[in-house]
Amino acid sequence: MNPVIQARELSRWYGMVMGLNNVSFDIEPGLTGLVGPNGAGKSTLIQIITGQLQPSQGSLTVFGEVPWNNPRLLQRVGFCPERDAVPKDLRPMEWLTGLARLSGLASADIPGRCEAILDKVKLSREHWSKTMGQYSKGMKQRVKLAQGMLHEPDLLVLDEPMNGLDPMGRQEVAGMLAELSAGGASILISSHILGELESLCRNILILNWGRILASGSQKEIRGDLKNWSEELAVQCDEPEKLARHLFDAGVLMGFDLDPDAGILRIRVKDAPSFYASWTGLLLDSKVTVHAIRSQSRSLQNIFEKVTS
Amino acid sequence: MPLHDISYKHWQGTHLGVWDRRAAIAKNGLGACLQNRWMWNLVVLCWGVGLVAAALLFLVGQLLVPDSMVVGWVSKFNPTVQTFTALLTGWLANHPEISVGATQNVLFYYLCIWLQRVGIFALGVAIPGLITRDLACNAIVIYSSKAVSRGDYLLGKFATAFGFLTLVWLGPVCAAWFLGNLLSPDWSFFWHARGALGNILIYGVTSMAILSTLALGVSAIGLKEKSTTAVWFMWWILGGVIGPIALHTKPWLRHLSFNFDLDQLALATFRVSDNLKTAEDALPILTTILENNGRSRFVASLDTPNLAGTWLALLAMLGLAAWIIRKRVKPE
Amino acid sequence: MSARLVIETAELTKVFGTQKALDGVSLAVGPGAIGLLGPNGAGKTTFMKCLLQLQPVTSGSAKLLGREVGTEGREIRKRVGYTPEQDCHIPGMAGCEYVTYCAQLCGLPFQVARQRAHEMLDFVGMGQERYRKIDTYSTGMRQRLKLAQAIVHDPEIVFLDEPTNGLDPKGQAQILELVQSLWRVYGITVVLSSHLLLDVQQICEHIIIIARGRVLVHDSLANLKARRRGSAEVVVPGRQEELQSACARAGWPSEVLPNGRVKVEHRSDSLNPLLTLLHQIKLPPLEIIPSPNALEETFVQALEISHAAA
Repeated sequence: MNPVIQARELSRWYGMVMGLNNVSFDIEPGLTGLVGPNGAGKSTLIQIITGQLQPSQGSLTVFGEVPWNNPRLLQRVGFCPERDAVPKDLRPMEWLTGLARLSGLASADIPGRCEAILDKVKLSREHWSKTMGQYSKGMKQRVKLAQGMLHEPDLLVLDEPMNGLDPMGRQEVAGMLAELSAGGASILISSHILGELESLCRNILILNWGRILASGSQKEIRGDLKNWSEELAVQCDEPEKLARHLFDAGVLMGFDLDPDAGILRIRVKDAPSFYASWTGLLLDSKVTVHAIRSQSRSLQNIFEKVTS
Repeated sequence: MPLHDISYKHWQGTHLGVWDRRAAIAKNGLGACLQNRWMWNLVVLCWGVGLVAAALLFLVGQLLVPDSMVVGWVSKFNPTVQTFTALLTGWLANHPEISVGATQNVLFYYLCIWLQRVGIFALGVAIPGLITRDLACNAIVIYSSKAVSRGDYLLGKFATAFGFLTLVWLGPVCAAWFLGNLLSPDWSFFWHARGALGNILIYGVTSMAILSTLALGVSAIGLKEKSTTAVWFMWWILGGVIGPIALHTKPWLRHLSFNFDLDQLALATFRVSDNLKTAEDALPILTTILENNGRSRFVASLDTPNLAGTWLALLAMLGLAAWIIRKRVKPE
Repeated sequence: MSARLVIETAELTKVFGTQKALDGVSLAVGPGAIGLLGPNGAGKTTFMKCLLQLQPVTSGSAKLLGREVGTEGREIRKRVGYTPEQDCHIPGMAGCEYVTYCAQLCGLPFQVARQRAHEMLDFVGMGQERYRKIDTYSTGMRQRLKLAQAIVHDPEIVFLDEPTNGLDPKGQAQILELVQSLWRVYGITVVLSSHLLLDVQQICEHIIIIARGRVLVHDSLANLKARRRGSAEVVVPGRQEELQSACARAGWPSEVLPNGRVKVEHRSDSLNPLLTLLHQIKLPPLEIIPSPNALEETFVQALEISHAAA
């Protein structure tokens, strides 16, 4: 499949200050997460993708074209920014209608489209008559999403889309994004909430200090880490007994006991052969098991290992 | 124990009372006002003016000392000045209880109202540091979540403005009074000049309280430092401009200027026209001298003030300031 | 630590114009780590603000640390800390001066305040930045500063409103660790208001859900999880359909979730029966997480009930 976004030796400098430094990657179609600490270069990258900035060196193409000064391409790109970018004195329909006209949508379609989009982002109709200055953070977020999705873009770029939304709202947005992705759009989400990206995005791009540290699927990145060891936490009734049993079986590289919480943390050698016998080992130990959690699989853990 | 515990520790001490907290707010505010280097220069200037006033008092006092330098210096001038000086000296020597009091009263009246203008200017520069910056940074929420109420906060800020004005105005004036009388020929000067000190304090405290409240009100108008400073200075300057124009058309308009109203209060407190009357009664020739030098205008400027109008205007302004503060200073 | 109640409200009501933000809320909360949840604009923020006297109450009463908020609010706040959600600070000061001043505002003498300010800045992990003016601080530093000013006066209870907002993952983890230690190690009651249920689950033992101005749920997290017992999400490397058929044979409902996990309702007290099944089909699990979304499900369910009732 053709990559949606391609960067080759992309750099962006602000005088001596580095925004992005010699970055090369491909973003495949689908849902991709963009993660990195504050100041890592995520905003710079997003601004280049959405045509707001030019690279200092190298190139970045979206759907094979350069986004800078390219209104035709940018019609296929939707952007939902992080900051409060909704005008205070307008009502949502007014604003969306104006934006739709600017995008060149057919006049007859516009009111219907705008209403449909506002319904889709679940902004209840009772709020449509108020000016957006009166909106709560969550409501403003929904309007921003609506304006990003209005012209049915092929690429939707979202900067912290879940910010300020309550758990229901997050679920709704996640569902919306999954639906969009299933419909063929590609989505790039920049966020600090790794838990959400983990379940939503298959592919991840990790930035730090203006450089790419990792790109690809979570599984691939995990597989590539050298300091990787399979770490599990087992919650059970007799952690010491389980520890002894596993030790005798010779599978452990290291372990940690927390008898008060009933948790045994283990590090294992040779993951494939370990897993082949894992259920057998657990059942043979005759210990009552309540939970098995992986310490190492989470996106949080991948991120920490990559950025350390 | 080799390893020391540097983790979080609880505190079991005694909390200080609410007045200490209010004082902390006032001190913090005053520190914020004085952060600017130019402010310190202004403070030094005001105390310098106070020193000059003290020096003037010293010189006047020296007139009574027969072989002082001053007497010798005056003798070099023309006959009119010499006559006047001789009369003044005679008057001072014969009726010290009236003359010392009267002269110091007049001197401190002028010192008060002129130095007050410097104080109003300095207060204008300090205005953003009062409430404006707190509003811009949402600090009211932080204050409200601490062990202080809105009233404590405002009291503390009021004390900041009041303390600031004391530093640039009342302080130098009172220091001038003390120093001037300390350098006088006789300890009795302190006693004779007590009226002047009384007027200084009465007018000073009242005027500072009014100015502080008005400054707090203006400071709470908006979030932008430039806007609130501009409001203060525009009000002050426009008030000064309206005065002479309105005098001939609608005199009551002059009351819209807080500076004018405060000057009226000063007149009412110091009662300089009484001093003039006393002086003219004792020295009829003074009237003649003054007639040649614009006496009518001088007397008109000391006209009995319209106190009712003045207080009405001031109370209206204070009410407006209080209303603005109540509306804007909220933990939202 | 005494077993007295830290928060008590009786028919607490707050009306904004025609809207009832709080509708007769009556709660009795003991010390601990408490999660305060609720949809936006549903009353949870108003509830916290009423307790802190940041909003006047329309009717009803509230007690904080055993004393009436309406009459003794100012003195109670000597022992209460608060980190607001929005960006706030007192301008014109360096970080350490600011925290010292905040301590003084709670009645600490200057020497003690200054000492504790630096100790708290150490505690939240702030280094030399403490000598710079706050206006130059990044988001992470501002959040740490907010936490420092909230605990500098050694409060008995701290209200935290979205303390990890705007922080990157490392920053989030650090702040959460600090907040966790406040109750577990130092015995300071924590009331955490957040939309991030994972954070709340990590830190809080008790949960209060407020929606439409009413308390929908007030229970311990352990109880909430127990209600959802008997369900687990299994992470397997492929062969999800095989697992589903095996579960169907065992009479256990299962479904494959969008993130690739298989949710199984095994209906027993431990995972051993599920492990036996997995062993039989020779499918080793990478992870088995019991009732992982207990809190989220409770939250959604409570909201649905309240919507239906409205």
